[in-house]
Amino acid sequence: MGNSWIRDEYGPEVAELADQYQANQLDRRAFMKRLGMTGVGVAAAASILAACGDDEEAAPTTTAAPAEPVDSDEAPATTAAPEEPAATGPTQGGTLREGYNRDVSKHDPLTTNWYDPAFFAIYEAILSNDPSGADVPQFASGFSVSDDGLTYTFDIPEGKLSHSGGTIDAEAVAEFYRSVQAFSFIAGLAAPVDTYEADGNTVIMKMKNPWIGALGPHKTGYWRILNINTWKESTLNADGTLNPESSYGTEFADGTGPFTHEEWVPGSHVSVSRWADYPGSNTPFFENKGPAYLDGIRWTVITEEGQRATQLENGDIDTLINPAHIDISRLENNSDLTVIRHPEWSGFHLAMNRDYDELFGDVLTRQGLSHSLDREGMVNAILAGNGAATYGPFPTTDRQYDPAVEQFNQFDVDLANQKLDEAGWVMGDDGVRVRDGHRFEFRYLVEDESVQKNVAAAVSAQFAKVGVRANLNVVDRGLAFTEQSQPGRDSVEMSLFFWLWPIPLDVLILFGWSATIPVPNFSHAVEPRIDDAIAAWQQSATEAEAQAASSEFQLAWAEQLPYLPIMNQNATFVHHNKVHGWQPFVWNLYPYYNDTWIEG
Amino acid sequence: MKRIAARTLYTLIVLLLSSIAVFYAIRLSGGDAVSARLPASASYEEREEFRELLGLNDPVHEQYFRYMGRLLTFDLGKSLTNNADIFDMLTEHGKNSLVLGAAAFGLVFVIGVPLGILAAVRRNSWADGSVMTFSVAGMAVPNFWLALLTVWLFASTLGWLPSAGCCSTKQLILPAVVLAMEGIALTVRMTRSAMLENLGQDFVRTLRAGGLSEASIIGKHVLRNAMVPIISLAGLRIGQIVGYALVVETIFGWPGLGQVLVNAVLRRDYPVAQFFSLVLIAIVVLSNWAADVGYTVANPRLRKA
Amino acid sequence: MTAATEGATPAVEARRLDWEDRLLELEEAQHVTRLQRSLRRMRHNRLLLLGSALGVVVLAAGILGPWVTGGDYVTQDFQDIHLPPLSDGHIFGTDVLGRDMAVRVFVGIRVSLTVAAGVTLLALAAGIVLGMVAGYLRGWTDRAIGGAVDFIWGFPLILLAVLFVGGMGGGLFPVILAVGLVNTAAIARVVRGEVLTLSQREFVEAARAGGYSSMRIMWRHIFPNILAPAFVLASYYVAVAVIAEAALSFIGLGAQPPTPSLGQMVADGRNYLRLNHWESTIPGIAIVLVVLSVSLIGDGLRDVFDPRLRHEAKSVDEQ
Repeated sequence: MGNSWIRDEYGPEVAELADQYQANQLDRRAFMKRLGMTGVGVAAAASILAACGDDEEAAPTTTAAPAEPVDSDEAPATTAAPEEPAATGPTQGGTLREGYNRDVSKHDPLTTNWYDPAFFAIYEAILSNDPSGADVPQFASGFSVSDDGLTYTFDIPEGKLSHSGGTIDAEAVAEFYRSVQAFSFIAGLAAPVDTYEADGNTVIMKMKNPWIGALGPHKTGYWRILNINTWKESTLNADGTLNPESSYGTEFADGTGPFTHEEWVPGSHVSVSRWADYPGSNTPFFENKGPAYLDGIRWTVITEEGQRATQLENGDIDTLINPAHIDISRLENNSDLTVIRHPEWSGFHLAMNRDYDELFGDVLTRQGLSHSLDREGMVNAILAGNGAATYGPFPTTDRQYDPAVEQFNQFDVDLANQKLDEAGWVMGDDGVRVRDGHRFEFRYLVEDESVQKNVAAAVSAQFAKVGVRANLNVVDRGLAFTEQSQPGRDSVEMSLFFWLWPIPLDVLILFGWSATIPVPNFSHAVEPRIDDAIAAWQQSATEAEAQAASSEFQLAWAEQLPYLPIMNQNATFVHHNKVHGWQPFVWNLYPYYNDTWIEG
Repeated sequence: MKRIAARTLYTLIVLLLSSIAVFYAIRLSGGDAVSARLPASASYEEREEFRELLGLNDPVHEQYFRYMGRLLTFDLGKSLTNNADIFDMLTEHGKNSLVLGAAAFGLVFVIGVPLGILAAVRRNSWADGSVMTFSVAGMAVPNFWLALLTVWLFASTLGWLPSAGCCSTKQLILPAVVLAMEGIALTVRMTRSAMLENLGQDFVRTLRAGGLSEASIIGKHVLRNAMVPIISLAGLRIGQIVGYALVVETIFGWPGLGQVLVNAVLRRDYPVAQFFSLVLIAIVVLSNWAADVGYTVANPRLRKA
Repeated sequence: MTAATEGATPAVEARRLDWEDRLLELEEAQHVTRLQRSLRRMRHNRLLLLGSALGVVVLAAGILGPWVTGGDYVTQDFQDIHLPPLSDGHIFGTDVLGRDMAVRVFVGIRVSLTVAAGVTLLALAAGIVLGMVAGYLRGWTDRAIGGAVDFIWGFPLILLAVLFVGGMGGGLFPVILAVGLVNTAAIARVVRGEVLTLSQREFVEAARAGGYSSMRIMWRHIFPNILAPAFVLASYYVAVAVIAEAALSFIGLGAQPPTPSLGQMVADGRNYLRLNHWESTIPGIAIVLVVLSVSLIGDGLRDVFDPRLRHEAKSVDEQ
């Protein structure tokens, strides 16, 4: 297998273990235990695990080609499926037709609600993750951190431009970041950052306190670099307030990536064209340092799940992000296609409104509910095995994932009943438990989406088995959020929420922190252990401190259960074998398009 | 004439009332327009601030008058969820809907009328039997299910046609046929019974006695009479197609007005939902009006009334 | 959206009816009661017989099905998912959560019929009252009611349902209300027309001349005469209600899971069409059978009780 990097990094012993694990000779528990014996740290073990597959069945490898970290000096064409004809080299031209499972958000990093794959074509971030998960420069040519962890320096090369021809120097980048702080609704994720200043050809980022997580948000879509002058002209009113009706990102964009905004039609498609004047990339793992090979890319929004795979099989699209789970095995058997999958940075969690103290106030009750859930069964049935059960807040792939969470929340109906009994819930005649005159019956709000509805139906049937009645209430998107985001008892008793974000701890802080009640701490949970772990994380100056804080955060979550973790799904990418250089990997949400070319 | 004028005035009143009803109803149905616009992590305060910025906290009647004021100056505003220009959305998606609707509308008559004539002329034959069976089935099979079955058969299994998307001719075939199916079934029945009614009339007997060929009798005389109710009620077919387009466009990923409206309602994107509802209601009301006028013109008895 | 007025052998049917009409005229002359006449027609109406037979099967499936199979549509088994029909213990197979499809389809039919019954009762009661008031009082009342009726008519049903569901928090009731409102409009229209015609008939004129109150005339003379057309029309709109409920639950409005509804099952099954298409096709077939049976019965009843309505109903169908 393509695990040579493991051998290089951790030695032959670990590599052999990894091979055994991938060959299914070891289960994960045994694998983790033996990894521990070789002296590999938890973070490293998690990343090895991530590369090898998060569980025994769904190895996140491609079926035809290795998806594992590819050395950056390896030509992209050689990573393609072995049965492909030997390619002579990248061909210029052609439009890549990509299918996408979500509706498209507007192309404005500062005010968008979410960022889609087009952000990776239109914009560059200052840094990116390389296939091994390391921070590497992208827009910057280099970066460094001061010993006290209080100052980050990014080198901005000369000659950087935006699509409109504007010069993007250090000052423009610094001003862009200051605008993020001022206007972005997600700026809070980088709260420990104090100021951004330009100094010659460098951008200096000063921290309020040392924080190991400082770079994380800067690699995401919301911090991708645009020409801030263009943005201000179109999006700020004369008095410096935000104009909510700006057409930046809908009719035009002024980014820094290898493609320019062409057309944006929500509910239907977006398209971008090659930027001929692209000044080139500093990203070390890109093979192609100049303008893109493709003439353009067109993303088609395909919300009908079953349609996605069919369109790829019929040749209506060339690449596809997230086919229906059930279609994946069929696509994997198609010799014209290559399937790449890895655990997604996401999770399904059940929120329990703690202002309903009589229901969810005590930890024994929450643990009882948790033990009644057959997570593995739900992964196999609902995700068709394309995911993994989660027993704590993180997907198993995360660098800081602590397998110790797996001692909690295992499926055990007897234990569930025992805990609920202990908590004082007495089984009633009609099969519903009662405590202090309160029936264990409540409304469970679900958004109208097929996976979430299946999860809800499955969960409610499992609760019923232990004498708890969850009455499902399916509502549309617009209503679901409102009903789960009110203060106090105005929010619904229970609801399912799904998160997606490349750095779990960053975003889960917001969902579990007492400072963010009622939104997005939908559970209204005040957990001192979790609050302390968050504080420790935001102050962590070293990897070890960060790992310790993160482990405590995960264990506190798994034990105190502000939410019931359920599972996370795999991110699945499929490309036709005539498409080369389209290499999504686990650490970034989407592929980059600099190296992509189409054969013939 | 008086009837037509009254009908026109009435249509305008219905449109105005619809605008008020839609405006209030979509707000009363609860939900949050801001949730689709801001990242999930935005705080409670930020959400309130944004609502204020968009004027969503003002009394509903104030919002209504402001909205209608803008509408009268042809300023349709922008989508709350993604800031798309609503006029652009109308032209972009309206064009698609028009193509699909026209195709379906055409199919209704191009397929429905000849089949109805066939059934009437070959009354009691196997052709009549199968046409009428098809017609019964066409009305009993819900179009959303028909949509799934045709995709499964023609796209997934046979691979003859694309399963979804816009806007090539091949991509048009499945949604247009599905959208037209019920109209075809109805038109077959109407044509058949209208033809039979006319075939049994005295003037046909006279023409036959006069030695005219059967083809000429049917083609020139009977058909012309039989077509009057069918053509004059064509407007109602349009209304029907508009209603079904909401579901069919969504299933086939055809980016038309119906798909946009469904999404906008689900996300509480007020300006888009309001305007597109009004557009659809206007189409239905106006085509009903056209049907009414057409029927009045075609029926001398009503004209006098 | 009508169903077969003329069935598999329509011409024969038509001729038989013609012939019967003549016979009936003779009978009428001999003071044969209307009911007897209707019963006689009923026996000769193949459509009605076919529809009734199908209807009995559908009703049995909806009422007895859940009872025979135990009616447990919730229990799931993650080991036995996506089973095809005739698998061990599951005659219709299982769905994504390993739930028994047969139970779910039977209960779905029951839900579908319940909604249709609710819609029809609501539409009949409201439609008759509104139609009578409008048709008898005329003037501004008529215009106002007529306006409201047309207004509802023009509103896309889905939009109406979304608004109701949003305002009332989901479940079957808002769906019954939304579809019922549309059907009310249809029935009120026809009833109003009937009342207008009746008002000009001799017996009403005579009653008026006799100084009877409006209430009394409406109740004693007009109401009995509009019942037949209203019921016939309502029977036809049962099919409309079934399809509307299915369409709304297909897009996620209506019965709350885990309660199964046929449209929702079709929607859930669509993602597995290539794996086990039965999860979508069986509930689809069930919808078609329910629609066919109620519309055949409706058409048959129309022929039996009110052949005259065949022509009027035709123009109503176009709406």
